[in-house]
Amino acid sequence: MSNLSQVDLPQLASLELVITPPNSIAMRGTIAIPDPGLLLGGCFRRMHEAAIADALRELSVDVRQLTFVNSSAIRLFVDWSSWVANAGGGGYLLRFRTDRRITWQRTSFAVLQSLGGKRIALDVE
Amino acid sequence: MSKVDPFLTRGTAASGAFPAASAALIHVTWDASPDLEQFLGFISAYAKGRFSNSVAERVTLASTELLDNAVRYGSLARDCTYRLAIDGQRVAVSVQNTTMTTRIEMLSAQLKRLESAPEQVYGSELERSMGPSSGRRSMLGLARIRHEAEMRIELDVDGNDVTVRAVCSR
Repeated sequence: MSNLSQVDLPQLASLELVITPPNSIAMRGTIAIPDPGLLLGGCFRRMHEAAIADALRELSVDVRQLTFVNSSAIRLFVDWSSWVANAGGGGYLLRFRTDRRITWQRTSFAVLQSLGGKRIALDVE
Repeated sequence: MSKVDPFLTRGTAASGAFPAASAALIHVTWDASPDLEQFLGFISAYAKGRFSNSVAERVTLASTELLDNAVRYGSLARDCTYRLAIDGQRVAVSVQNTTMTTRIEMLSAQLKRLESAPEQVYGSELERSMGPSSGRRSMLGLARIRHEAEMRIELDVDGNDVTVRAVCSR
């Protein structure tokens, strides 16, 4: 069993988070709670560490149905991109699947890709 | 309000600053820390029923970020007021609260920088978020309102009372 599939997922009424082994994650809903890092930051970190422990070459994170996030939640994706960018030789390619019709995705992930370098990929629909 | 920041309204003199006495659709004042998640859920649903999808998205984003800033950086020793208003073809989300003079000066300077180069400031704020957590008292929320929602931001100051208003066409 993969490490990624064993990551405990937080319960948040507005957010559905689904892990599909070996290397896919999907997020649906919204993140608008004031301090999402308290509830989700640890989970994002554990998913990152699980991807490394599973020696994944690529991890796909589908946010196309994540329709709204606050700026504190955007920082969770900034953190994740930063971890991947600084992971060294054991890292993986973090591929975000985004929807260009959703404004926050269109504006933020393009910048994240430029900050994260070659370890961040974008699939834009 | 006794003072409207002239720099922030100068660039949009043709349309003018949003009148503070405009018709309020929603006006709420809290005397304690508000339940933001519940209130923002209501605002989002209301905006979707009242405006186009595009405007509803903008109203939701501005409401989220302005209230979050007020709770995070303002002083809740006094009331915090939220207002959603219309004036002709314009919609405005405003949040009034009390904060320290130094914080108001910092906010005014940040808004001037944001007004002159919204996309660059947005990018630099995201980049700054990659730093250590101590550097996270950033203006990413305001940058999102200006760059992502493409709303004009006005700042009214009266002593230590500050009103930040995000305005767009409807």
